[in-house]
Amino acid sequence: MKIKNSLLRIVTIVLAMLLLVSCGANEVAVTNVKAYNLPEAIRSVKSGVVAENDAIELSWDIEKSCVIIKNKQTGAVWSTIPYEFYQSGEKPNGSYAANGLLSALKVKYTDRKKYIEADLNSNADATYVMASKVKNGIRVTYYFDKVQISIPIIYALEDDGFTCYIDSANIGESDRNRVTKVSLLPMMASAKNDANNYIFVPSGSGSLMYTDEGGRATRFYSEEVYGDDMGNRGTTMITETQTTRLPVFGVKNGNNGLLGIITSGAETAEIEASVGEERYGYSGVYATFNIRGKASLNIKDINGTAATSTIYSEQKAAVTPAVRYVLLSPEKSDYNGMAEYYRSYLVSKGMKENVGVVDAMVTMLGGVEVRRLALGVPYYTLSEVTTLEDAKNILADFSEKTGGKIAVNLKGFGNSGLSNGKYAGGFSVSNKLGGKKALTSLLDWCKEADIDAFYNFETILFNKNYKNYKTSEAAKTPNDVRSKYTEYTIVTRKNEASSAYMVNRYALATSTDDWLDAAEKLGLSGIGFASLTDIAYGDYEKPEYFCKAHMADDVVGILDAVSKKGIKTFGEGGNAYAAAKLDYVFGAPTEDSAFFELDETIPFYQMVFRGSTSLSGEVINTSDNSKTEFLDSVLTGSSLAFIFANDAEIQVLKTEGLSAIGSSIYSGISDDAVEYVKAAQPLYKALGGASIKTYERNGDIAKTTFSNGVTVIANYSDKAVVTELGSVEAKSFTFSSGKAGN
Amino acid sequence: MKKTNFSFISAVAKLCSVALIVALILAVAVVPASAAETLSNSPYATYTYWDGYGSKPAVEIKATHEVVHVFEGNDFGVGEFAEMQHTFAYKDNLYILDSGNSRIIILDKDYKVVGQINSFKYGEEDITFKGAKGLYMDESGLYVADTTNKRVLCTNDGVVTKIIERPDDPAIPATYDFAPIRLVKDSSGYYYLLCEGSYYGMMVFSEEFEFFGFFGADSVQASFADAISEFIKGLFETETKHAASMKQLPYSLIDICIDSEGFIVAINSQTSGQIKRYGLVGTNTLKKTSGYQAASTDSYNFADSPAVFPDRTAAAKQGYLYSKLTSIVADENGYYYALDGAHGKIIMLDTKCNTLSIFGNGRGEGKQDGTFITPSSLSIFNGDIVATDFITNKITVFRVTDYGKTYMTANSYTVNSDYIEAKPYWEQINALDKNNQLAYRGLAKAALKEGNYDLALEYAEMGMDQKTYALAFAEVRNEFIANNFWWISIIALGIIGVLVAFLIVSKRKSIVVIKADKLRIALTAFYHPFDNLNAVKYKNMGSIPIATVLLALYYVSSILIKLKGGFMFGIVDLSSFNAILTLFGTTGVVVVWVVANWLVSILFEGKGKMKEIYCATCYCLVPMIIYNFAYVVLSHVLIGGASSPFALFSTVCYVLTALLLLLSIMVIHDFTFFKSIFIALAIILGMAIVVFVLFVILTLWQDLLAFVIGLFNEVTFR
Repeated sequence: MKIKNSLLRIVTIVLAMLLLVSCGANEVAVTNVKAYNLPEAIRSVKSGVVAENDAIELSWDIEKSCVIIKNKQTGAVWSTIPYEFYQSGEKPNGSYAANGLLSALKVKYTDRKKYIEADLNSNADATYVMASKVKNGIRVTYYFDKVQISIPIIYALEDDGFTCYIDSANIGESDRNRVTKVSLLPMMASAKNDANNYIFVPSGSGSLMYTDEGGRATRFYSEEVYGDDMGNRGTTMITETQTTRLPVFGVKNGNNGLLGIITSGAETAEIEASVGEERYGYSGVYATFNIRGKASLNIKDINGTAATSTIYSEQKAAVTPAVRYVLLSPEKSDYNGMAEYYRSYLVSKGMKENVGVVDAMVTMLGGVEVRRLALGVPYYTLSEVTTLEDAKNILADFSEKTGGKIAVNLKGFGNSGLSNGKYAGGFSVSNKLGGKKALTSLLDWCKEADIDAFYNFETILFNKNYKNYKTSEAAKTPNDVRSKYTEYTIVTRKNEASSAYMVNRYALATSTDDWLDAAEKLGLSGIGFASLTDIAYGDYEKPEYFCKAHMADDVVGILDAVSKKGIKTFGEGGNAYAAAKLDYVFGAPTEDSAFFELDETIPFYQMVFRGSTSLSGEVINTSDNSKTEFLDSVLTGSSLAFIFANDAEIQVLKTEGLSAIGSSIYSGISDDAVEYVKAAQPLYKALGGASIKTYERNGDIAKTTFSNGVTVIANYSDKAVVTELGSVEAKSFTFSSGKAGN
Repeated sequence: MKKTNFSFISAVAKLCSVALIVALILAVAVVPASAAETLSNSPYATYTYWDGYGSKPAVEIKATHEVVHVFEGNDFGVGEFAEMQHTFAYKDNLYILDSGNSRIIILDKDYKVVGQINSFKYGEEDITFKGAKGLYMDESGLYVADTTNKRVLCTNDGVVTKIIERPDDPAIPATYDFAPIRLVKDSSGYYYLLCEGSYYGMMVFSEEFEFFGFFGADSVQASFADAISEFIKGLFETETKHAASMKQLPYSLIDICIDSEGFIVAINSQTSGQIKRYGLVGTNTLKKTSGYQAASTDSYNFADSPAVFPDRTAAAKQGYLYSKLTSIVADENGYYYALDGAHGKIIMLDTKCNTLSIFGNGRGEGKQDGTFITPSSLSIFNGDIVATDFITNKITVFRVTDYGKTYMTANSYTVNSDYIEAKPYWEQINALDKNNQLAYRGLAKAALKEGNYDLALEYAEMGMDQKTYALAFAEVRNEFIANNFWWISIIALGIIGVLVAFLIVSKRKSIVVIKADKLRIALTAFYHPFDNLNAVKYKNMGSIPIATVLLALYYVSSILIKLKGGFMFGIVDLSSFNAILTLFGTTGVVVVWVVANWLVSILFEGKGKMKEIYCATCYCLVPMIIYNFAYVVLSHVLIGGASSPFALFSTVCYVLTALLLLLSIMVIHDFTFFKSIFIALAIILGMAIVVFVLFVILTLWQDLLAFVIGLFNEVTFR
């Protein structure tokens, strides 16, 4: 009887708890969702010029719901419908291709009753289009009445183009249908299919997609700006791709060029392109913005059968997506002109100029947590890969042999090494690797040896509570669980046994004081922010952080605050918002993602940032082909990047996700590394802080010219070739010196 | 007394349970995630398997090949390819069989089109070959395996010289489908023709295409159970029914090639033993060294193992995507390249079945350079690996990297036993890439050859090469003994002398070494079983604490064997070693035995009490404990080899333990010998039942937990 009563009590309590939880889930929350509201009278401005300045004229065509932009000086015209097609007056049929051609918006929405995602395009599905003049532009609202969605976009003139905004705060929605993505102006940046025209997409270092349709099927491209949301990505990666670091895209159409710069909401965007479409013969590139975050939820029944459901965030990302379109003059209509414009745009926003590079950038790996056994009972301890004393010896040797300028980032020297433990390794130095005393000694030595030294902190990933960085307050996914960053190695195709939490975005944004305190406590003149500048992630605790929004602001805030205190900054990968602020960018991309659809890799990234930040190419000693990587670096005047380690036990070497350590043991690779540095030094001296003016490639021969007149030619082939600068050996380079200095 | 024992037992039990919980927690403790520091900036990774653990863990290495070209038909100006089935390299030309368009595109070594064949002349007729699946070329001409039309076209300069159709030979079964897909020719001038889906092996023809017979059919591995089953069926089924029943057929061959030594190498559709190299009589001559012996590869999986490579692609739906080899080629340096059509990977092997590298990727979804959707064939052209994709109709050209060249040079020397010549190359590889196991092995062999035995030991252990380690260790040990012979002899003789003297004196003067009776009974039970077990039974001389200590020693010694045992006698993957499993396998088994023993004895009116059973069982473990500790010590002194010196010793100890357990049943329960044997079998059955019940309980708990979690999720997300 007693047992029966106890059991009854337990069951009652459990049921009550479940009910309470479900009640809590139904509580009405503050929301930024605006109800759909069709005005009683749909009035639209008449066709004609609606705004103009000295350079640009903006016109509206009410019949085709088309916005036309004209460069008054050159006569070049761009429009939301490809202008040649618009002018032809051809009436396409109602096929999907036709609707895509004529639409200023493509929308994805979720039907919350049927649990499906469906598509809309403004040409076929917008029941009403209302255009009204606004200051310096026009506001066009598309009403998709059947699904009760309305989306307003604003065109505002600029000196050399216009900016298009999605007024996401005023997107009208019903309770049933919610907008998840909006593709903005799919055919504004478009070109007639022709072998001489191309689309520029920012895959990795940058890539071109030629718009020829000779026998090739339509090619599609899509990559997220700043990479996948690291807290919410799928775990079925099959291959590696390069992260898209730049929020830009462009098109060359005959003698005209159009550059698109995502000026707001870049973190929520994907760059997409449709190239070589055969039916109507146009290719286009555009930005698609994620309005809501989504996550997959797996629920299993009692038989173990799994059902997957997609959850979308209730609220929208609190960001106003915007793309600035720049009409390029004929002489600047190619990718060289695009890079030059974007560079000058960033300089106008405060990016530095005339910054030279060091001869070599080195990342030194400290320690790794490994599993050991005490009479069969496992425990974890730090395995020393490089102590601070070893690091000093390695740097001294390398510096002496090369005689060059070096920058070093000390990575994995905290208490948990390269593994994720306390947030930022507890802002401490592992005693096993030398402790604070050894760090101070090393930093003092580096100062004397004129080596820029940085101490790296893991800024995003952690697994143990420390101060106000708690796992229970980590960033969240759209389905309200704490985000887990899981490492997925494509070799064994499985996640690491455990994963790391991601610090919540508010804590990240307000972590500046901790960095400054750490710098002061450890006597640092340089801080390494590896993850901070390399990955972007969302936090579904607040709408301003949905879909990775405002990651740039948070990162820039931290970098600015640290720089203001005279502390230098070192980052990896280098997303554009960070690259413009960092003192050093390690491992900048030199390749694109190698999709079949991408026709030619270009060093657009380097063309933008060379001379404004000291950047390196990808790591030479861990790459597939060291010589190719070396050439990629020297061709763009980038520092040579190396990863060094002193020694590692077999257990560490075979650990998933740490294979690079095996190719980084200094004693084995130092000779090659020194040789590479010595070969590149004269070039870096000649280049100084010059920026890249032009880049071109013809087969295996590539050439860059710099703003100070230096020309570099790299020969990627297996044979010596004769060039304008003389004979160049196989897999080698040559350069001509330009004017002295810059 | 009883009360004290009970308190003690309960204290011990509590301690054990705490220790168990702590161990469990630590064993499943969160492995700290590490920031990725990986090799390669390609869409795919290059890796190899580390031999030695048995589970073939994959380890990433530096790239041995890189993508230099990805072509499609438009790049050659010949329009899109349709169903590229095969490519064949002959001298300075690459022949691409564009089967869907019924044409052959000919490229030169710069990958420029130098010719195109759309049809062949046959008299007045133009013969096309749509649906053809294979090409072969030599001095006598170009051969097309015209699969759909069930013939082989022998051509020369665009003219068909002969058409080979299905031979009219009684050796060929009536139901045999002559659909040729591949043709090769050996150095003796014999043609080997592979037909699609054939499980009779290859058809052998003379130079004049006279049919000789079949070669290289796979055999069906029948087990004893299969034979018994077949026999029983034969007894009860009618002849008609038996004849109509399904027979297990051999696996069909998928592709064939000739290697640098003139052997035929073939792949089949199995998930192990996929690659075979045929000797003169059609047996597989490929062998792989595992430990000390080279064993047949008939059951070796050359490709990714599902257990090690869980696949989570959408297509596989949380299941495994089994590898499926679809093509094989051999280069002139003795390397084989096998194409895994399911994963889009190229597996590079040497003739000793060492996997040098695996590269490529895609798994049915390849969209990037070096990845595939449905890779269809491989060929070696001018040193490059050329792979075609049946769906994307792209040709991917992989070229060996500098690292790959050095690696292959080093390995070739080692395979030919030129260890000293290989050394500088292995040193380069080891300097650039510490993840390369073959480099450690190569350096170990080189050091052994040079007489640098200490270095050989170090490299052999790092490379998990027990054989080389044993050879080096033998030299080191012999050297040690030779240098220290006198004092070793003196000490050994001294110890023996003391022991003998002690035995004689102790026997004469009846000296009792172990004064504590219960302890003495426990430790001497294994050589005075009847006396000591009777003492336990009738004189209450069993001691639970001592029995528990012995059980703990058994567990500890079992752990020590794995962790501290000599390298030559076993390699343990410490990164995945789990003491909990050993606990279940030692202490768990003993506990289950004791419980089952007690339960069974109740059924059969045994007279043993739980305490007596437990004590007796633990006392019987003494031989195993002695063996384990002796193993730990001796495994560092004895030389490992194909036949382990411990085999006899372990067998004796296991048998002795088994006999002791049997005797314990006899004495404790007062059964006869034969009844004890029956009871022992019943206990084993009882153990199985106990384990099964525990398993069912665990499964039910898991299901209940999953149900509660699912319910919580549903309620939460509504």
